[in-house]
Amino acid sequence: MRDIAGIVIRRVAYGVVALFLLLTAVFFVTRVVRDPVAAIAGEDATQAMRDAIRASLGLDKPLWQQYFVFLGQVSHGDFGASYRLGQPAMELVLGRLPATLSLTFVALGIALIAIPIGVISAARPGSVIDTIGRFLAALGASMPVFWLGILLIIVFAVELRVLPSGGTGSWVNLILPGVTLSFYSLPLTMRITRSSLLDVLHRDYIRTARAKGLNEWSVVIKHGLRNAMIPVITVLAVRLGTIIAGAVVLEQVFGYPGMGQLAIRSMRIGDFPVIQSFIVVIGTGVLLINLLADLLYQIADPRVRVS
Amino acid sequence: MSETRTDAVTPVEELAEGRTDDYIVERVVRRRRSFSRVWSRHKLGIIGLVMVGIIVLSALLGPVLLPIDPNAEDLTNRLMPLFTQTNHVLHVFGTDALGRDVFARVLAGSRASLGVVLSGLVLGLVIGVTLGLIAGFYGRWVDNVVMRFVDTQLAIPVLISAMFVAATLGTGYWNTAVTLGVATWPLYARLIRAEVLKLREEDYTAAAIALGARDGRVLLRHILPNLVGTLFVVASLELGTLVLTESSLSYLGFGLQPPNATWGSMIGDGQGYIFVDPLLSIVPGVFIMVTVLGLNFVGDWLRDVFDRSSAE
Repeated sequence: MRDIAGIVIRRVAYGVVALFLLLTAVFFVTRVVRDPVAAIAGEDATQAMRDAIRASLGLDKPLWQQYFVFLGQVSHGDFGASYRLGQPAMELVLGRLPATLSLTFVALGIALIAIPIGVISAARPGSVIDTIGRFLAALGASMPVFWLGILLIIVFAVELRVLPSGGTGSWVNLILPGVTLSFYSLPLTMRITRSSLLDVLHRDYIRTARAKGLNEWSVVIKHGLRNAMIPVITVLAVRLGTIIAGAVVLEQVFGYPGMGQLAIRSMRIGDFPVIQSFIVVIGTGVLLINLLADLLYQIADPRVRVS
Repeated sequence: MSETRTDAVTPVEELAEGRTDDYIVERVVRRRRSFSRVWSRHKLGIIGLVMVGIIVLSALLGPVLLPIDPNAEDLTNRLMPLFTQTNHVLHVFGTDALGRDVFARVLAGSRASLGVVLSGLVLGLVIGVTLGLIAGFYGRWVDNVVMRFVDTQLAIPVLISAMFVAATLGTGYWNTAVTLGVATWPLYARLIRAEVLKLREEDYTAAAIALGARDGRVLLRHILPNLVGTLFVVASLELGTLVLTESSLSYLGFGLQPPNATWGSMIGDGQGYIFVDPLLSIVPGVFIMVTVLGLNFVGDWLRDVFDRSSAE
């Protein structure tokens, strides 16, 4: 277990360095490339009004001074106030986080149906279910998912009128966005379950299990699937970032008031504090998930611990 | 098939050489089987090539075959259904909310989207391959610095970093191309670095260095050519993802700006009219799907072919 502790410490250190670099990059890129004052002041502001806004936001100081002020504030957990709303930016982003996370978890739950399909595919390669499943997986991986969302709205909200096209309030509102979002991971989960299980099913211990006269399904599930799940879990965990990015887009499609909506509005007008907080939240989340996936992998498969 | 050497090629020649019938039948069957196996192995790749080819050709030949201005508005003929004829012009996919021809716009969208994506791919490859080569070849602190940047950027999903770059750089053709390149370079850099680490240990690299070749020559003449296969596979697989990323960006309004059409922005514009004319947002999506499906087929095929050849 000592080597695991070492790995954790190293990975956390890398993560902190990555977050610091991320913050620095975001800080400089936004300030060098774009001027937020124009966006806040509007078209017909006078030069004096612009200067006043610039001074009040501390944007009139030299860049390096702004950077150190910024670092000082961040070290106290202060990411500044939103230019648009005046409220603390980090609170705004974190306030929207639960909505986005619940959408993400609903989608992950729905995507789990890919595992049984993948298992059947691998147990009976070339069968009808396998062919249809692989075809749909290829199709699903090639669709713009936000477009699929619009298709589902057209079918279930406009034509059949059975589900709401968006909004919030009850679990019904989560069905269409959740199903749509699951398509960011469903095709991949199916493909990986299938190929990973196919690989396992060629191993010697499977032949032994079959030779013992075990029932075929108990061979596939107990001896096969258990060993095949490790890559599936790792890939899913690594993909979680993509799913969150997908949620950001889909929140626009379904008018869902999550983190993504806030982030996109802020990006359009150049609301730096909110953008920075958003990037930090996403970055921290992704790094944490990767760390967890890594640990899980090392615990589940001691052979990889050597490297 | 090569266990017995013979100059005979056809079954008839083999008979003339005194082979037994069984052997010949087996040879013929095996040959046929291997042909069907080859076809089934390459089938999807060829279908993919055809799909991509149709989209690319229609995009390139669009202005010639369909001489309708994709941005020409005609407010008296708004939201027309399929195959409407107005003023002696046939609107195959009807017209949109401003009376513009949807088919002409989809083809213009193909040109814009594919052009942006290709430019973005080339840009991302140039940055990623250069940094990956340098990191892998020089190792030590250079490697460390490059890889920390890669880690940093990969902590943010590609789509979100693309949105961020697009929001700061601004919109338009070249800005979107730069956005796509900047958002994806770490993927190529990481891959190329790993490959270079392996190639650096090869005897021919050591020999070139021992002969006094300069670093630039070793990298460009001895290492880079061995990466071509990998690059082809990655590029073709990544192209599909890039098409999807670009369509998300322009759907969100971070891509090409109105009145010019892209696939993503057409879907976004059409979304406002799903009660009246759902086809407006369906048609461009079909074009995206065919393109990406084709590219994925080609990518899988190339990977299969290159992996096989490298295994042999």
